[in-house]
Amino acid sequence: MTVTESQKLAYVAGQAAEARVNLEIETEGMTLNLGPQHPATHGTLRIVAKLDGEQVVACEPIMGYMHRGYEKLTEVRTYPQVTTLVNRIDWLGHFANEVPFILAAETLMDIEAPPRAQWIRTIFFEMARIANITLFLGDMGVQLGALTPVFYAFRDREYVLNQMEAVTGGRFHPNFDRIGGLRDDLPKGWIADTKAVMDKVRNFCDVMEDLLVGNEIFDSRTRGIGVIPAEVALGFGLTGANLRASGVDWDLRRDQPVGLAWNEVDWKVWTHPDGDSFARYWVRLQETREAAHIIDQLLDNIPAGPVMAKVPRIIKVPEGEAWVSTENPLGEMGYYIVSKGDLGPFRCKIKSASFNNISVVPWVTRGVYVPDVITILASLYFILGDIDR
Amino acid sequence: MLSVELAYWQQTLLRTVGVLAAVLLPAGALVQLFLFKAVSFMQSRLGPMEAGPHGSLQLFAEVGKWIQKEDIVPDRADARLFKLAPYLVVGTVLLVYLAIPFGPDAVFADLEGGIFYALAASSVSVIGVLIAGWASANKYSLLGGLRAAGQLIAYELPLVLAVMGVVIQAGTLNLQRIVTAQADGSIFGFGAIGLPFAITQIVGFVVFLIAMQAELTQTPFDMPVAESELVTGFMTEYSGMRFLLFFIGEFAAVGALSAVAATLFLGGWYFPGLDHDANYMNVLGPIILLAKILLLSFVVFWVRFTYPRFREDQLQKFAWTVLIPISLLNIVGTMILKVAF
Amino acid sequence: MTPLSSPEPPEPGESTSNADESLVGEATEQAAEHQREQAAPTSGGEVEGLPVTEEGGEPEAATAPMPPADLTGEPTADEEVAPEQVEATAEAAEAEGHAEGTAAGAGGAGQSDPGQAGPESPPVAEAMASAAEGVQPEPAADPEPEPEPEPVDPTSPASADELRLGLLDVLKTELGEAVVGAHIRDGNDLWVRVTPEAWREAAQIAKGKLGCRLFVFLNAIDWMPSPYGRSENSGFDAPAATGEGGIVTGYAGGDTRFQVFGRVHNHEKGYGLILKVDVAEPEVGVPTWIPVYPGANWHERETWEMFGIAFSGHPHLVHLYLPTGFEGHPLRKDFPLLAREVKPWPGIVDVEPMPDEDEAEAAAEQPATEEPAQ
Repeated sequence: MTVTESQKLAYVAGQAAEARVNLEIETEGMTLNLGPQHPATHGTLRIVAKLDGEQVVACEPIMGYMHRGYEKLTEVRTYPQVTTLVNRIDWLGHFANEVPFILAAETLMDIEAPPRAQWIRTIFFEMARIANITLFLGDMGVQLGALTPVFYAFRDREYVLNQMEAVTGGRFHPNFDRIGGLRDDLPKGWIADTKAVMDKVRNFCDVMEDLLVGNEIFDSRTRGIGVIPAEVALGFGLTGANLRASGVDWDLRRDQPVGLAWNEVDWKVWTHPDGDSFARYWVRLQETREAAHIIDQLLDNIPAGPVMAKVPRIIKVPEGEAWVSTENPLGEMGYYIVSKGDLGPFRCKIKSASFNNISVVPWVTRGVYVPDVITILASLYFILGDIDR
Repeated sequence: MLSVELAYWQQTLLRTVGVLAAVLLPAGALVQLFLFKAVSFMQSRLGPMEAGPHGSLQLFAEVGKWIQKEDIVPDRADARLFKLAPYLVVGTVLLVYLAIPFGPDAVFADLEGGIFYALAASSVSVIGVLIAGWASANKYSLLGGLRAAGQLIAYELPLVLAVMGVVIQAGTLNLQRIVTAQADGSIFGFGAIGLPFAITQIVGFVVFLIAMQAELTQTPFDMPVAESELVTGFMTEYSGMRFLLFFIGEFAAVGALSAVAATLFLGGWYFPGLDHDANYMNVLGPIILLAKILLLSFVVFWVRFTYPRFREDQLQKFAWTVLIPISLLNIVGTMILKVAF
Repeated sequence: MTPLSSPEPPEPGESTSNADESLVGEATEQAAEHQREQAAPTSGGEVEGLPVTEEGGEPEAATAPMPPADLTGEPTADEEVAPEQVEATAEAAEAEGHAEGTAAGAGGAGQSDPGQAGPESPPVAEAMASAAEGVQPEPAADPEPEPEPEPVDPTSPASADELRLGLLDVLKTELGEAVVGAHIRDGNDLWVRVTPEAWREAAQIAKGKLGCRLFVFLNAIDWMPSPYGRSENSGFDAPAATGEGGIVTGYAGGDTRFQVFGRVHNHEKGYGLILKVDVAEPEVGVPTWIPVYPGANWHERETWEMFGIAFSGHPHLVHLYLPTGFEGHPLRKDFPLLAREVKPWPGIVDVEPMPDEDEAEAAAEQPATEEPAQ
């Protein structure tokens, strides 16, 4: 089923018109606070919804309950210390947060990690993606009332985290990436174990396809709900699967020459033309499969060699400015580093994916029902730490 | 007929204890067996394992925990109504059990309009839910209460219409006689297993199960308590003993409606091959009925933990455009067949 | 320069002030003339015009584009830029080194918001006073080694990157003199600095003409060196930070303490663009981008609360992260990080030089101290 652009706009206009009609007959509105403590916000996000009956007239996310001021904190830390902070931005996609920062520092220092480090980085990046998105795939069911899938998600994510832990020593905050390479090499036997885990991940994707994608209630709850046309998605700066679900074929892994190994293997960027909640779920499901596929291929061909380039003992990044972003599990995450040749960044602008992704909520929730707000929030998929930083 | 004669107060005491046992036993069994264990196995986890062997005493631990908790009444709540609501919900469930026969003589009240009474009593609980939603002075509770009211009213109709087919076929409203009609019946002259109406009234049975799911506000029809939207809706503000009462009410209601469904469609306390007039059926009957209750409740929980939930408008649409026409057609069909044969 | 119509449907918050229009109009008259004037200097620009950092830590890299900007920018600067900038330009043109000029600029910026320094933070006032005096000795590593005799166009960085030079040309054609600085890192990125008046128009051109429909982010930089150093109580590198006093801006130059910068991206062709704008007076700020990129809404709110930079025309400029009554702007450099005052960052010891060598030596020996990893 493909939905044309005009159909999407007609849907949006229809929703808005309905909300207007209800306003005109002057039923008394109600303001509903979703959050800061609310199961649907999985974190401390607050959403103030002005309701007319159960229909949303206006909706405004309010955040900052978890604002930790990382941009200020980076200014009093050295470059190697910053990775510890950025791990905690999108805490489910842990490793993926470190990579763009390290790449930005490497860009300024004009050094490049050895090929083996680049490949292992790519593998971990994709494993972080799996660890992150599997939880989304299950959590979407919870938000819609299906409790079982999330347990499968937790179970299968654990396998991936175990593999991360085997190498980095940390399940959630590996802090493994270094300027110029990686802290350590892979342990013995890890590659075979990881391949077995990737089979489990693929199996998990199949299960989710059966449990949720093939479910009629899931279908009726997500199809045509929260339609974001491509132009709106671009204007609000949506990235990642949210943008691809609106039919925009844009993936930084493929479209931006970063020194990682994505271009060495064969994979596909998935898009969906509908732009609704279902499309966002579907695209992420395919991406998880694709990530397992990428890891499988990378594991087969890891080049030999060191995992650390020659870097100075005391890392001073030369003066300059650099913007490096990568396709993180939640979308484009980037760091704009301004260096003054010091031990730490002079200014580090952290552009996180969820912040942009969630900024479309006031636009997209106009005129929908309260349960759809939950669906839309869940399908946009945010991590609180990624919004508030 | 029972050979012992009991004084009125003795009969009353027996019935009170009996009803309490009839409510609490299935409810407890459901929670322990299905909510704690069966669902855990479905979700690839073990469930409670600490209290008793394999967590078999978890239920008592939970009840003890809830009783110890502070009984909180929100500041701006309507305290009297707020406190009343849980009792209303649990009370209606007790009333439903009143009309259900457990054996040829083991019946609390052999009402002539038994099924009519049972369905009427079961829908009183919506008043308790509405009161809870309103008195909590909480927007989530209010939304939950309103949703519950809308949903229960919408699904009362297919529930009753589905029962109509059974009533027409059995020719009576008395639940005891509906059971006997199923025990005495025969399928094309073959009378060995009786005639559970689940066979001839299969459409009514399915509609009843779906409507029952909605009446019980279980997933996929759990919008009134939707955890991820309304934070358990009308129960948001309740804690301690009162929450426990709602909890008991919820699961006792699963047992009660399963009992009604078992009586109407699965032959009630009767099991094929047994003498439905014998005295021993007064002992065996409740056990058979309990087994059927558990079977039906398992379906309820199975569905509950498998499906996502509908949206409120989709649910209403489903009730009015699918279930009600189907059950009306079922009634028409049953009438024609009743006249023809 | 033709006035562009907004490709977005007008939102209620859009308000292009008349003042902006008239300024743009003035600039338009000058555009053609200016470009003719610039034709010759442009060709001579490649000697100094590649202020890249790939060579390493020479401090001149980031500041190199600025002095040439002042030298050649005279005819244009008189027209449209803030008085401070003119002053800075005039002084820099005397080839006395621009430390004085920038110090004056810093003083101006610092004085514009004296209320930001709370009574509990004397270092702020101290630093401001010292900056305002403008009598700081020239730093040892003065960014400008020698004023180059040949004029260099700051908006024409030498580069072999045809794609980004093309982008820059489009912007210069459309905006004319409003483009006041540019920088290209070959094959990587393009920085363009525009005047505040042209800020929204630059976004419109980036979106309409350059196809950068994807909004990435918008934020600001406070170029004032932190008066506290890395750690308030450590005294480790505090002298270096406070002693300089001047403001040294980064790529594409800049004349003010605050700069707003935003990034937009063309997802079809795969290039991005970082637009910068000087903010002379944070209270006045720059025009909002919301009519062009609706996603700029929250980014501008964040910038407003973190830096105190206003966005004219923004419909809902309220706190985003911080509590409503919060005072101060946390990401300004003169906003103390209280956690550091209570307890110095313990990790700072990791990067202190070895006990037997002093810091300057450590820096000098930096290449020699490389250790082979693994």
